[in-house]
Amino acid sequence: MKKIKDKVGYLFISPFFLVFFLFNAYPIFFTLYLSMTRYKGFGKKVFIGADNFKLLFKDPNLVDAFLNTLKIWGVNIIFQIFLALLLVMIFSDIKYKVKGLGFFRVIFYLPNLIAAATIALIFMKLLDKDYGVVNQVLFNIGWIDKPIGWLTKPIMAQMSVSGIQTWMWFGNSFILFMASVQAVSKEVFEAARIDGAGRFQVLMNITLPSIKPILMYVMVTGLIGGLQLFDIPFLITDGKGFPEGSLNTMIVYIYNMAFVHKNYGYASALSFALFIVIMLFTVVFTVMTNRTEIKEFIQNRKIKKARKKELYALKGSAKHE
Amino acid sequence: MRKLSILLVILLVASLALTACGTDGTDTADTTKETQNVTVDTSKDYSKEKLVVWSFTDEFAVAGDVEYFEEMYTAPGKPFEGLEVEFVAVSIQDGYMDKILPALESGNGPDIFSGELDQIKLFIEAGYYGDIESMMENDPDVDLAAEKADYKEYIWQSGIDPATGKLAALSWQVTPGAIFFKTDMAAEVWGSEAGFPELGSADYNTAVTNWMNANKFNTIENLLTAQKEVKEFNSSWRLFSDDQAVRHFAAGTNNPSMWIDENGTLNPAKIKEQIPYINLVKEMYGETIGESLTANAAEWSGPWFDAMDKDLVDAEGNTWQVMAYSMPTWGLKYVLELNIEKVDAEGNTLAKPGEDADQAEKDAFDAAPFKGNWGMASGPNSYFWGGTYLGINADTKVPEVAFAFLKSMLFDKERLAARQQADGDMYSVESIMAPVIAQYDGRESLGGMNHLKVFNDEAAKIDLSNVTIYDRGLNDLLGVHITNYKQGAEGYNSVADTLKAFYADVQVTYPEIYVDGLPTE
Repeated sequence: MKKIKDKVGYLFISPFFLVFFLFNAYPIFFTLYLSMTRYKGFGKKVFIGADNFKLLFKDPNLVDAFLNTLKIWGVNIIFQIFLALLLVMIFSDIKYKVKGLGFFRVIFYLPNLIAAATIALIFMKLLDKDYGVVNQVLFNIGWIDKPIGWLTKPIMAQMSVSGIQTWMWFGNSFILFMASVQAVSKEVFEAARIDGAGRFQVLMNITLPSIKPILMYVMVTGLIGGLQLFDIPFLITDGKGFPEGSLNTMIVYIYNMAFVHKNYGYASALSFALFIVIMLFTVVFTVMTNRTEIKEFIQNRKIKKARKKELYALKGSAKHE
Repeated sequence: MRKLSILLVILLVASLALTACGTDGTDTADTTKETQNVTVDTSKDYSKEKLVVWSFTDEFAVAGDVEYFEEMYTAPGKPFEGLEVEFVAVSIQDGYMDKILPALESGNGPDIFSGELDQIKLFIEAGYYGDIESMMENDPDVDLAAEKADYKEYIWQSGIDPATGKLAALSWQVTPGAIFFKTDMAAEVWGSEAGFPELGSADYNTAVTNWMNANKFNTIENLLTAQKEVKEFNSSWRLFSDDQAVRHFAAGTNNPSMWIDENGTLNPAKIKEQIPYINLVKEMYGETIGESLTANAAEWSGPWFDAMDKDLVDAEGNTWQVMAYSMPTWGLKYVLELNIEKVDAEGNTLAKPGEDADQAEKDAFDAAPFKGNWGMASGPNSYFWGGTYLGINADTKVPEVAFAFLKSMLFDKERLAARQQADGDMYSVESIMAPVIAQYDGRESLGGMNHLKVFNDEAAKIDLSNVTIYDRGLNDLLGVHITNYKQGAEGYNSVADTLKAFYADVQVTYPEIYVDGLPTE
């Protein structure tokens, strides 16, 4: 009876493992299997070993697609965090006492609630080089003398997508950061102010340390999401990375390879390569940003091991006695 | 911790085992498949059965095809009384192919499903479509020889499964394309040239069209010259809205090469055929509209629609006018005519009546003339765009019902005639179209031209036997590099650079068709 009781716990944790197995582990291994086949999405899956992975080194688009993704993500994450931190500084400043935080939270978060397809369509019309509203306004107020190719020049197109991503996501980061800051007692901020700390000092010594775990969370999830950037670059131009392949992100490339060109085998190899890269990036990033914690963890383990050894040695000598 | 590790290892092994045990994707193309039954099984309770129909458009519902089938076959007292019909429409944009392929691969596909030409080629190669020719032979109500003679030959040929030599899919439509152009603008540009018809002469639109066919649109070179002439005549006029309009003429001939040669690899002749088109697109491009031969208004964009009957105003406040659009049969009715304004006797634009307007107001609007006068010419080559083919799932559990649906769509001449009368489209059935073309009064938007006859003649020139399952993908891939070349992207200094970049892409995207030594000029 006791044995059965001991094992009931496994039953309770089994739903997680079942879902993880069906929707995470199985697709990952199935993708690995597909990456070693030639498969058009129908008919035979011909096993070709590592041929698809060898093709990765011949692929003229792979490095560009990866760099495009990094560029768009990099600019977006910098501005997203900068903007969110700036707003946190303003809203947490005890001197300003800005009112209506709830209202602004909703306003800043609103772009995140609009479907990506709608956003892409709106910006496609706004940023059209020849007939778009943005150029029309800039031209009318005399800021430009010829239309800017927001979506037709490679670097401009990448920066436009970064800007849209920032606009969509800064509200989300702001809400997360603000929640962390609000957890810190107001007295701490007041004490700092009385002690003569400037705004920058408050930011560096109180605000940032208090939001560090959330900041890391935003950076890591932003990195994972950023490397999987798809909807806006796919929808805002022609879905093939126009102009000059500058919006051909990794996922756009994988999508086209699988669903337009029906090369599921190579698309799977690309997906698996991206999976490994994301994993590596995440590990490196986590290690870099948590060095102190990791050092402490390793030291604690060493101390624990040494204690255990001492304990065993003591037990051994006691037996001999 | 140890127990958790063991659990994870078990999960990992199970994942691998499941992956290995997953469908091995055995080739579903089976040339020895038994002919499916077409006779009604009297022992079956059809009220417990279901017919599932998938299409990439909603026309089976909109045109009343499902309703007609239910009326003829599933209503009380009919052969499949009580049978449920489930119709699913998934547009191409919503991923029709991405949804239907896994369904078919898993063996749970619909009983009847449609596709465009390159899609049905894929369905046929994968063995998803059953043999409808044998089903026709086994049905006493269908005369195979007569139907074959009645259908346009190329439509019939394009649905044949090369593995069995039997018909696997068929379409009641033909969708040839044309260049629709504003005759008044054409008259202003070329009216002084020899042979251009006098305004007001008999059958004016047809005469202008014939002149354009003979002098301006007949070759890729003339098409380019025509664009330059329009721009020279009036610097704010353009022949086309953007270069997508000329993509249909990439072959430049009515006898185009196949993308894949007899060895199953990329065909050098097809590549060489594309070079004049690549040069044409390069010449048409300009970073600004002023530099371009087009209005830089992308196909299906707002300005593209607007230019059908209005002046375009760009960001700088300049105005532009577009003369012509390349579109197929459905484009005239569902795109062009729906977007051209209607005018009263004084030429004033009429407001479109709302849905709740009374019938008299709607009728008056329908009867009002279109703004402008349009002609309809052929390009350097005939082309088609779209078209819906139908086939039966090779693994359907209700083949007799599926075939009955097919019969109601393809071989029921009374229904086809009524359907054609309602939608006014081009059908691939000679017995339906011949009387319609002979009695046709002409299209009002085209100044009374018998556009059905023009489409019929165009359709007769199309050879669909050269379409392969790679066509859409290879055209897309080459299109990306042509765009890079026309915009002067880094490394794209010549046609040779463009083709080399294209080959590098083919090597990783379609390694099975790539060969060394392909032409670069």
